[in-house]
Amino acid sequence: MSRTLVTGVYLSHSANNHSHSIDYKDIYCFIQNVPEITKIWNSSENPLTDPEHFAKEIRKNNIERILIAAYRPGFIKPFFAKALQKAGKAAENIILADIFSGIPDGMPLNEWAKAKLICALSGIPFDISLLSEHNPAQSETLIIGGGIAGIQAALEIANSHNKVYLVEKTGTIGGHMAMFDKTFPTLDCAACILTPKMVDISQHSYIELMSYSEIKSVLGIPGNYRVEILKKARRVNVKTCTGCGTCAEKCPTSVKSEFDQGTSLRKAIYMPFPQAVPNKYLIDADSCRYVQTGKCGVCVKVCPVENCIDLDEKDQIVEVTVGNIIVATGFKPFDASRMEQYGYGKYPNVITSLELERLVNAAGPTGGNIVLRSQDKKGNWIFDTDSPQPKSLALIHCIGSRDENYNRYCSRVCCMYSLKLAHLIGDKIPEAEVFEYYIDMRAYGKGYEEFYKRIEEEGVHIIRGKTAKIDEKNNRLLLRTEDIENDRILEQSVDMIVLAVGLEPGSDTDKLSSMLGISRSDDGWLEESDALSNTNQTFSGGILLAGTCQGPKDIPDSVVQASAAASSVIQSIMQKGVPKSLASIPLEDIKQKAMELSALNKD
Amino acid sequence: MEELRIGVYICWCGSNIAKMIDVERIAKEAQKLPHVVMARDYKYMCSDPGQETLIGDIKEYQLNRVVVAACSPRIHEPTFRKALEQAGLNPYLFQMANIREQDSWVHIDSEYATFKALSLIKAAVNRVQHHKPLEKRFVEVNSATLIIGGGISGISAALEIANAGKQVFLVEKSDAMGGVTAKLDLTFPFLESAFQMLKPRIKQVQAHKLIDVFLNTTFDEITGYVGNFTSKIRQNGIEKEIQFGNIIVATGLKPFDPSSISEYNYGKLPDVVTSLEIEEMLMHGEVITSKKKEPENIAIIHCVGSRNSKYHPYCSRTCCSTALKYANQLRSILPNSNIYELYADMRSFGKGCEEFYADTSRRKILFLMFDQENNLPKISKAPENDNAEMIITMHEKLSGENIEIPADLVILMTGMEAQQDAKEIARLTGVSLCGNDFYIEKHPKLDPVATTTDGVYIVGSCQSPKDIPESITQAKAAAARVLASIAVGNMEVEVTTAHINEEVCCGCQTCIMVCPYTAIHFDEERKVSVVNEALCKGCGTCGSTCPTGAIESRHFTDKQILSQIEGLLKTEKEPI
Amino acid sequence: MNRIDPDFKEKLKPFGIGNWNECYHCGNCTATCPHTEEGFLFPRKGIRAVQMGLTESIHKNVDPWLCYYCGDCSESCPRDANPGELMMTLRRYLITKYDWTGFSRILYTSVPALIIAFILVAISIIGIGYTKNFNVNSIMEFGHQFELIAILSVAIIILLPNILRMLWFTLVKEKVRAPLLSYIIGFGDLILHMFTQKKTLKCEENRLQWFEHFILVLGYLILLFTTVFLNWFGTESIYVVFLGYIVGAVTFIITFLFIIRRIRKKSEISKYSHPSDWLFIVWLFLMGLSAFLVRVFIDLNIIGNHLWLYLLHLIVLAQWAVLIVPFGKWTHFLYRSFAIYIAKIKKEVLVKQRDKGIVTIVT
Repeated sequence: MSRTLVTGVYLSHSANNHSHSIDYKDIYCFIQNVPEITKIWNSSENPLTDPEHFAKEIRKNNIERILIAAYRPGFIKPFFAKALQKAGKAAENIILADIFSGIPDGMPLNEWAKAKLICALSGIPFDISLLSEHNPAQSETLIIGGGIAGIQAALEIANSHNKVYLVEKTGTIGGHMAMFDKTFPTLDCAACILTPKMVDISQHSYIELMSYSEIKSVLGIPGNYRVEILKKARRVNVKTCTGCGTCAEKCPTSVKSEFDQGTSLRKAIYMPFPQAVPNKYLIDADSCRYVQTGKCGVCVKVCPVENCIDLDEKDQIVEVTVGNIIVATGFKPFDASRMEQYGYGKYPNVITSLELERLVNAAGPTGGNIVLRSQDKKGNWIFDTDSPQPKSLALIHCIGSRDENYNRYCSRVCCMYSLKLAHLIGDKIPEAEVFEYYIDMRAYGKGYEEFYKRIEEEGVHIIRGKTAKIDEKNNRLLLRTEDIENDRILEQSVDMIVLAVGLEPGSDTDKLSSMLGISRSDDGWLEESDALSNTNQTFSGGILLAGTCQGPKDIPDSVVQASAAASSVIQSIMQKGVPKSLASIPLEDIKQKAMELSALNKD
Repeated sequence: MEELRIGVYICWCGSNIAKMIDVERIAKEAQKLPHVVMARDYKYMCSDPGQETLIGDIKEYQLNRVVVAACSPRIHEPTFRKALEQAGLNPYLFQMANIREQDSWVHIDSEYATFKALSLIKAAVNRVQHHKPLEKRFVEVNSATLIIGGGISGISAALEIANAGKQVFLVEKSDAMGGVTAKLDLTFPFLESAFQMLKPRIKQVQAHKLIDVFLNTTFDEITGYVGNFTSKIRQNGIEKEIQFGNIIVATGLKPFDPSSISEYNYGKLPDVVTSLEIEEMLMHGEVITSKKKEPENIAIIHCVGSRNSKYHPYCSRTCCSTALKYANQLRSILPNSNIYELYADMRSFGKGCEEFYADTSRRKILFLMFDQENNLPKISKAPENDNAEMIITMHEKLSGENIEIPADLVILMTGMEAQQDAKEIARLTGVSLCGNDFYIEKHPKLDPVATTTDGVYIVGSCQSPKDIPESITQAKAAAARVLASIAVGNMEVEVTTAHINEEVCCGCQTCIMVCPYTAIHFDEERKVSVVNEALCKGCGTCGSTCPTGAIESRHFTDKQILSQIEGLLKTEKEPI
Repeated sequence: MNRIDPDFKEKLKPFGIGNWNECYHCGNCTATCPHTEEGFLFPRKGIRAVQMGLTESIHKNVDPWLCYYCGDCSESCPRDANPGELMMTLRRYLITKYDWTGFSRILYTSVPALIIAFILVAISIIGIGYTKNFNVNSIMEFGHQFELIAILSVAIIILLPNILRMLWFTLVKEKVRAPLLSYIIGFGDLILHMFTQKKTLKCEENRLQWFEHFILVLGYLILLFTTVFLNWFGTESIYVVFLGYIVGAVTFIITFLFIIRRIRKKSEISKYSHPSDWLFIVWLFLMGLSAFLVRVFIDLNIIGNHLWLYLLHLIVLAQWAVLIVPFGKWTHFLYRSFAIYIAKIKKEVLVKQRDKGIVTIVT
């Protein structure tokens, strides 16, 4: 098409969370001034009832092409395809301009809508790496979050011999993956495949690991960000600590271990887990007796290394300059106690999937022995290695997911990890009866369906039906479910129930998104600039997403996305530079750029 | 032969080792071993002070061999090798004895554990005496990249690399770029235009001065190894040679052919169509039956050729959401039609897809569940007096009823399968296949785009079914690796490779058959096997199969291993 | 092999709100409901039947009548598909299905028809008043007789045949073969449930609600009794008068509370109100109130110059007796009790079959 086609525009006022603050008149006028546009339909006067009506007007105005400017225009595209077809025109000539979606808060909506319209008309994607000039990129990169995504991205970039700052807010990298026992569908142990990568991080000459640190502020421009990092007082010298553990042995205060999901206790001075990286101890100020009361300091006395522990160490702030920032802050598990009908927190043996991961793990609180919670002398419920094993367990899928009352989205991993857990239970307690209650079995990945079949053959009872409630009846757990495929009500009493909790955005996603100017989806996940063709990029130049902070993902998908983010970084360093943030590009420039590019695209 | 001066170090690993093994005692014992100049135990050998002691000792005692008894070499061998290097000693003059994972962690009898630890150390000491210094070797990396396949994955990879300023050869066997994506109207879950996404990318590729596109092109051969590949390609009969450092395989998928499923009568009933056929109808804005009428009743059948042991056991990952997409498109173009989705499990898992499912169900779509493994729905021609063209009979699982569905148009959600030439491409590039002829990745979780052959990557649906965003992301992931290798300019290759003693080699070529990395070829003149050390991973398979013992694996020589075993067995179970 | 009928959903629309397309069949509602048991799985299967338009299974099922609408299922439904309200809707639909006159269908589906019917009744009452030249005593005389006649004729001409139709759809047509004895024994429960509705107690939420209903039913029946058989308005007996006052008051006070609730829409069960719900509750209220006032006026001896009040009462009464009782929500009272009766018999048969091994029910 060397000549621009005569175009008609359908401008929809269809509601979405933005549309109330849009000035449609202004957009209307804007469209009017585009030369090739000869006809504009306002959705208010032109309901999409009769394609014939549109066909007539298409013929009358001899329109060759239709542009649909709406929220999610694709949903009405077929209607217009029909209209064009009836008018005897080429139905392919329809352009979609999704002008009202994906707009970060506090942006001028109309300007954005116009920019998108221009791009749509000139047939180029609305993509800042195309639309904006590029700033030269500093070769250093900041990665926020030391889970598997952060680790992967860090290694990819470091292996291109470019400096990486890896910032992790807890005392160790590894994230949630480090807590898992085995991984689906291959059942290789998470630690065995993860810890070597963690060690690589600690030994890589191009990676500077900043554990127990948080981002305080981000200033500067894309390609040259100045980032203030808060190094929380670890109170143990990472250089000299040998990790011998004498301090922890003697430390008087015990609190619930975050790493073991509270299924075990740790000391106030602790190493999150034996393979932690850095493999050094740290002090949790909130539970440390000295920090709280000023009296104690046992650890200092027993520490074999000269002034390795400094109980009065203060937080400090370091500033780094980086070209790109990769956000890999991950997820937090859904709080099961919100669903009262399942009595999590009320019944001691209703546990979450993550707690079971720790239980089956050989390095877990019970040395890999799945046991029922029992009461100790003080009367608090604990997992004691010697207490009896459950002989029957039920796993309930979709806890907090696919549910209008909690999270609408599918958490994507629960089906598979539940099947995996069912297998592991069978491994540890061969005589145990295991039941899975699911809605749709989402075994979609490579080798997943085959895994599902395998678990079925292993004799796990897989039942279609969502458990409605859990009660305690003569200290066994009673769950009530409709067994849909067998047309019956099941009242199953079991020893232990595992809730397959879904994923939710990490607690600090909110803070970060405003700090970095990234928009968030209604569910709170960080929004990519283009869900179809670029799940890494954001509308802030040089700020990329990796892993579950962008939406639920399994390990391979997180890893791939992390590598992809790394690619954009390496690319920007090698030559391309970093695009400006869209907010900072004036509409005129976008217009200009769009014209140039479309000129290039003409054939 | 210089005099052997061995240093032995026993690590406490905090209490990990020390609480089960009497480390001081072992240290004393080790001191007595032949050639051992000095032995000491230390709380944490891997810690900086630990390593400094090691370095210090090497200099002070002129050690020329080092044994560290600690954790698994998997974790800290690199650490200590670095330390040796810093002390000016060749890193391979080092041996590690794993007395944690293989001893203190797995035993409860401390006496025995201590004995075992000593045996392991003796073995290590014996072995290290025969270690030879090995030099690190690097190969230059050719900065050009070959990409096989011009679908969305190939295109994305090409742009990603070319935009970093590096040469790309994009080879496509058909006469156009775009692959399956070019056949799509809209995408799920937001119904964005596939065309608007793809077209500009293709333009960019064509316009890019660093991308050479070869359409209608096939391969005669691909030779070489990571960093230095050569290939003969054939374009309309003309052969051309290209050189490149990395390969990205993006050969994509082939839609399943449903005519083999008797229940569906595809090909016999005119109004049973495949997903790609309905795409075309929708694109042209005309969804009509063979009788040129608008269908009143439309059925969409999921899992066609997927999740069924008779056809393909695997799930094709994208069909469910695609089917929901069709439901919405059909609702828009035929507002009053009855739309039925016959599904097994609704796998709308992606970002925004579950919401898409929920919203779709509000648009008067009837979802009916069947058993995709044992009881497929049956499509048959409707009797004359019936107002529908076809009748679908099925057992509906959610109601438990056997039902009859009127249908004028049936859409089969055909799954994905591997390309016909998948095996051929695999042979050329040295990629391995998994069960279903998809390419197998180096590690399913932590290395999903790399393969066991260095410098060869697999992206998109040739690795397993994928949707567009996933394919693009994979393409970029592979690009990251390629760019990294180019940025560094060279890569370290394995030094502990196999070496063939040509005097002894009888030319039986057994090694060539067993080598998993196709690293050995046969020299026709000299009638001996030759190892390509850039490809060899030092797995030792050839060495152990070689009938004449001509093959020796460096750092795993017979002498080294035998002496290690000797050391292991030498210790009697006496109070040490 | 039944053919699915996607249009059935539309046919059901007038009987209630219709967003049960969203249901993705997780079975949560069925498992939540305390009344579900083997052989009687609802609401999910009901939703399924509606979605697929399996009319036969809808007609043969008494499930909707076994639901007492505690609203738990709707509250916890992960798709907001509103199973509880669907049960209510199906009850309305089934009433029209059982009604041989077809009149209830008209009243349910068209509001204008409803209004006309009510106006006609009102006019005819006034007409009768006119023929009696608005003489208090003769009108009250007539009113008293009318009540008797109305009740009897409605019962015989409409309710009885409808009950028989219900039995036909659910038992006879389904060839449920149960020994005569169980039919007879079943009647015990029938009566018990009719007056106590004690099954409601199974729903935790409903304790208080049940009590209110119980009192209301009691009050209403006694009011009926006192007015019809003890001739409340005519009697001199202080006890009867007093009794009348109490039950009258009970009736309009409780109904008043219900009305307030439906306006507030707080609890799940009072969220959605079909015209028929309003009609039922408002008229019951008016009846209680007007009856109460009439008697007050009689005792104050001013009814003579306030005939309008009695006429009003009579109108309300007539509309209640000839429209709401035979065709409206009042019938729940009847059908529900018979549903329990039918369910009991079906269950017995089911259990027998299982013991004979004809059907296998696994639990």
